[in-house]
Amino acid sequence: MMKMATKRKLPYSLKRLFGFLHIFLRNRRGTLGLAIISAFLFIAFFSPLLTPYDTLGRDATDVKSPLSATFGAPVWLRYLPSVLGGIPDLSENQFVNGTLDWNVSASHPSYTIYESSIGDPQTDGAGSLAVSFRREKGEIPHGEVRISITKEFEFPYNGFPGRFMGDIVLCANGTTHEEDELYYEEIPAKPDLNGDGVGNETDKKIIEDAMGSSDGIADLDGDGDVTKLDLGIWLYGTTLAKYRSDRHLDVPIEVHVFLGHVGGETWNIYPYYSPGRYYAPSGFKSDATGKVWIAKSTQDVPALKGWIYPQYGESLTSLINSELGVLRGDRGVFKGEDPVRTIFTETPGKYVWGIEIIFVDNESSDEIVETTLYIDNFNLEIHGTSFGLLGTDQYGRDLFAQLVYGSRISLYIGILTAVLGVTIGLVIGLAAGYLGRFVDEILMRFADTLLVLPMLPLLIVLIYVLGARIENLILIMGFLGWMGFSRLVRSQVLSLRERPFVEAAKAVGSGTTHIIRRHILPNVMSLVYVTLATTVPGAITVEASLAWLGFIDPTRMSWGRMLYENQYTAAIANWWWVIPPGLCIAALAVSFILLGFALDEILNPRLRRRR
Amino acid sequence: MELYSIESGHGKRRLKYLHFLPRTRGVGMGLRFYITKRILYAFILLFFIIALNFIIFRLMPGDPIAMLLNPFEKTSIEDKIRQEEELKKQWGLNEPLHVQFAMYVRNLFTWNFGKSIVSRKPVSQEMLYKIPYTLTLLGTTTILAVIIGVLWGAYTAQKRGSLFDSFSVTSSLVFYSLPVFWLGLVFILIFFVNLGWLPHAHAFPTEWALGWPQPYKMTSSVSGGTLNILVSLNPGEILEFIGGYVSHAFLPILTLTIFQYGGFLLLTRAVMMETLTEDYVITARAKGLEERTVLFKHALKNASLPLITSAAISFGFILSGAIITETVFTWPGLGGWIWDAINLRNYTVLMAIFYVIAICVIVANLMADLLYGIIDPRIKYG
Repeated sequence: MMKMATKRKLPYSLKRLFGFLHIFLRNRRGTLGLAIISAFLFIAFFSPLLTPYDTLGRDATDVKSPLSATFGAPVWLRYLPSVLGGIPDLSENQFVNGTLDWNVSASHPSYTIYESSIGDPQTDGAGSLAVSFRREKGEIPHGEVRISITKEFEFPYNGFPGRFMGDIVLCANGTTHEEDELYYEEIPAKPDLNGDGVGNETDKKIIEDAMGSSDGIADLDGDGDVTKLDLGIWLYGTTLAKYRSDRHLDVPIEVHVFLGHVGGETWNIYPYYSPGRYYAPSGFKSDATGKVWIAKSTQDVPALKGWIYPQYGESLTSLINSELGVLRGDRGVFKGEDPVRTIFTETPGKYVWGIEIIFVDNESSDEIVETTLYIDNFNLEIHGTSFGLLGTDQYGRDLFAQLVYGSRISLYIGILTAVLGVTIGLVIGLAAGYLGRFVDEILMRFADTLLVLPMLPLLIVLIYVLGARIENLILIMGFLGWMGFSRLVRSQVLSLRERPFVEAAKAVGSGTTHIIRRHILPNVMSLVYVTLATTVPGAITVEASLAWLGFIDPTRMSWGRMLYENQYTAAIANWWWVIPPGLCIAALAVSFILLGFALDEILNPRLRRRR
Repeated sequence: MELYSIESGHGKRRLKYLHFLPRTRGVGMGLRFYITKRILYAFILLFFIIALNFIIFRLMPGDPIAMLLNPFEKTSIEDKIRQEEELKKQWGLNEPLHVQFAMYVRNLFTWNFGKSIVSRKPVSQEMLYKIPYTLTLLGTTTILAVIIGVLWGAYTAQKRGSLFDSFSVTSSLVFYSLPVFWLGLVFILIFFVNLGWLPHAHAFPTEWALGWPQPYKMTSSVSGGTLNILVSLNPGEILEFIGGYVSHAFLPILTLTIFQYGGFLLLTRAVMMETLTEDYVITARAKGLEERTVLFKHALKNASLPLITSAAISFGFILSGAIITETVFTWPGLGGWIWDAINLRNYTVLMAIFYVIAICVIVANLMADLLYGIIDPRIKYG
């Protein structure tokens, strides 16, 4: 019985739907709105197909590995004539990679190179090779053996690149020996000496008591005598240079990564590690400021800082980054200058990029000595000043991807808020209108109270209390956005409940729930559809406004947040960053309003008659 | 646009249980009853809002006493606790909640909002400095938006179905649903960044002294009120003075007007379309009156009721309506102040602004209701 009913019902409702569509498509504004909404739905569903990039970085967790230079312009601006606002001196991304066509030159033949190139160099950062140095038994030391592996490339753009970087990984292994080495030990202020967990007056007393003796605990500077100096160290802390015995490679390695004009000056690029944040692995020497020096020669910088003694299994990554690096060339060290502007010129040119490996074979030994340096991700990424369809943001993330994925968030917020608000408004309106009396009075006074509140300041305060997650925003807007609609439903229900068909239903003994569900509700559904459509734009715009004011969900990139980040980084002159998100918000909001107006005209025949 | 109308069939049912209100007889008494009831409702609403204001700000993060204590002062823990107790006693925070609430209400009615946590000046004094800016900006904007919206809407209704009609409706829909801060950003991009014609922030040139409205040249030589200063300036300086303000106010006013006129246009159009099909309009046309006379003297006059209500209500939101626009243009009014106060957790300021805004809205709503009751003879007082 039931089955038959549904079988008959389906074609009937389909027919009704097509009939409605037929009427709807005759309304031009409504059709336009529906088309725009469909387009945005399509974009939201298929965003991974439209752009390969992520909105918050190369992968979702990593903001620090961007796609291109910061504040990049759209690529098509390069080809636009200047009259129309084109910028001809933009450059694009260029990746110098691969391992197969490197030029290798060496000062001595006692080395071997193993090359391999696995995977896609664009994504995996392939470009791996191993360089091995070996001196047989009985041979005299070769001194410095220099091997330079270079690659020439052309940078064909009429402008500087934005920056360059490379995630080169170095790792060394070989025969080793014991050797004293200098290391730095940092003693914090007020260290804990007696092991009770806190450095306090009792620890100070230990030193004061041991003054003059050679107490091991109290002798902080390790000179075999407890003096006032130790007390000073205890009070203020210091960094001590100390020696310890350690295993080192028989043949230490020195590495330069360099970049420069072909036939012109080349520059060694030193990575810079900010102290306290990134420490070089223990196999590599860093000085007190945290800089890792990979020096040109032993004379260049103090010997103990200049050598790398990599031990097995330890590696140094992120070797070069033009934004964090320090340059060293024939004319000295350039610290304050942008490495990009120092190395590159504004005209197209040929550049050479490479790595020089120096095996320093000085130790005389009767045994076989051997050292192998493994190099991975031996690629150079030059980030241009233009990228993609819409350029990049302050981290070099693709703006087009942010725009595409933003449609998901706006639709999500708009539709869920509308559904929540309309549902609450419907229930309250039905209750107030049909039940009347005290229920009506209380609910409508409550609605009046909420209507009087200034909505945006209240929203801001609530978001401030609850946190700026998008779900919170939806809940708040839903629970504060039902009042107008409930009044509308109530006034409709007030007139419906006096109609003859309700009276007839009452006469045959229908209950309140049944009457509301079967007789009142279907008659207010047209209002529901219209209000659903006209509530969405408000929610979208409010989300954008709140995001622009700084209440952003840090895990998601919305259109409002794009505008916030533009404002935050004072990049308003980058119009390609300002215009598209706002246009999208406006287009989506307007299309929902158009849809709502069209539905209103069709579902409420009062207006149709008037036309 | 929400149309705040008084639903018919309201009063009869209510009278059954609102017997404690003065019962009235006759038409004149009905109006008095209506007004009394509306005023009573306004006061109940005000009480609710004061209570809500009181509760919300106790939910917000942060401890006001902790903000008053100096964290770098070297005192023992016992001293700190004693200090805290003293401060609590001084500010009345050791009292039970209902006493605190009573104190709060008393202070609100005596216009004593306490001191701003940031500037340590009385909030009411600071507010008096900010309000003129917001009133200037929003007042001008609302008046402009009403005039443009109503006139344009009336014409649109008359030419319904034409290309002009669909252009007007679509454009006002578009402007009405644009994010207003983005509109402001685009204007800044065009007029400040690209063309360099207009300033993008503040209410007057930054060289001027921080007074309202005193150009720097005159602050030292002339004492007295604003008018004296304006009169004693020479014509060139007057032009510079006016130009300074107008050029700064132009973009915010433009932005807000474009954002607001659409609502009035759509409302006017909807109301006028109903009115224009009435019989008396046809009669007026048949008499051979000019189309303009018919439109504005006959139709618009009768259609103006919901417009007046709607305009009154938007005047109520005049103080709160421009947080975003004022933030975009760094306008030194109440909206920008709200934003700063939220950022700096300036709770005393926030509470005061909320209260003032709510009063403004309640009074405007009351005015709208009363106007409706007085103007429209057809209304059932309910």
